[in-house]
Amino acid sequence: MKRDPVYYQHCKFVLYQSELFKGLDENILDDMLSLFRRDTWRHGTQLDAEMFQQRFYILIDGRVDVQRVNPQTGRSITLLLLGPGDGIDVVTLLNNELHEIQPVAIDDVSLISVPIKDAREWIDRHPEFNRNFLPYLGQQMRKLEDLSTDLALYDTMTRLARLILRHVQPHSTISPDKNYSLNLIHDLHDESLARMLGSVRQVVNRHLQHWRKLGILHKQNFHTEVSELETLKKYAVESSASVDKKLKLR
Amino acid sequence: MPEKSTCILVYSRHQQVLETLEMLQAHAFSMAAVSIICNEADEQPGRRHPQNDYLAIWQDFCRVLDDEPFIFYHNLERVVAMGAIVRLLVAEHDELDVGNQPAELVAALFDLGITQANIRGYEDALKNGKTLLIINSTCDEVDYVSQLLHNEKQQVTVHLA
Repeated sequence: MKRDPVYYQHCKFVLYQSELFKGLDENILDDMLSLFRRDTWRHGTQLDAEMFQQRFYILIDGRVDVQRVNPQTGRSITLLLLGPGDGIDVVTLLNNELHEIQPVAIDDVSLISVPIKDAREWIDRHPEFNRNFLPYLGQQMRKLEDLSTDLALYDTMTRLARLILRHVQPHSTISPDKNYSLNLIHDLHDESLARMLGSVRQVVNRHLQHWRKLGILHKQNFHTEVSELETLKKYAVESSASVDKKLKLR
Repeated sequence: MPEKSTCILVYSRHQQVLETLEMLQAHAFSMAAVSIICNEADEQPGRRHPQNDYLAIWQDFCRVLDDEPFIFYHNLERVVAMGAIVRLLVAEHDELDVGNQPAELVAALFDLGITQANIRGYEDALKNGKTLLIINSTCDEVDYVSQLLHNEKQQVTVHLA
């Protein structure tokens, strides 16, 4: 990447905040960035899995919803919701097998990208990157583990509570009205949240409305925050009926 | 998945643009996919091209692209375009959701898949006397060109929509 000073610094800032690149030596990051070109995808663009066999993409701004779609029914599930600093389809760095995913840009997205073979060569030259890369892969695997566990073991309301809790910004509090901010999902439509839960929009909408009425969630200008974190945590571990009952007794 | 994508390079000097065009020609790349846009300001702020130099460089562009310059106004500045983008500059853009009455240039860049934030960046580049080299073609061809042209000194940005 040519060192357009503003964009270059912005990329470095974003990458240093991310799990994949934080703490990496500046010379190594500079060496890596020199290989990259800039890309943008407009909001709503659907990408083919094949393009991730050719190039490795890192998100700089915006979010990408990595889905898998049943071509017979059109039903889809979100495997991962990626944000700034995330690599898209990092599995392709490990092997050449086609990965059945369909990423969709849910914002206007800016990225940097490099041919896969160059990315692999770069990792070979800089094994110290593995100190970040392997934990990052572990984190992605845990997210998929959470998804499959939630789908198999919990009802939709519990899954929704767990999903929201996983996206509460660490050490966030704190908007002036003491609400907890959400990372990545704060302005998603109910349809997108439903796709992350393996549910449907109507069900998710009903639960969100229920929690807004109880004052657990707060929504303003399409921006959702958590007002009652401890109560939401109860929904994530107990059955929804028993939490509702306890709340009525208070 | 979109079939086409657009790659844009921003140059400070017309001569660099000409060298790039000649390189693309040498690699037998179809010039039908290539466009150039710049304003009439000089490469050095505050000074205009000597008329003869200006004409000479545009004659070279005409020769390589086999096209005539198309002159229009954008933000009160005279802008010169050449190549495939001219068709988009003169097209109707009623359907676009980029403001009430998007300027021709904004609408044309939007048509090429460029995000609104980047359109503003390219408008600024034009205002600052830069020249945009735009290649709109199949994703494979744009990837090929971007690999050909991207290097430490020249940034390529690929837009997909």
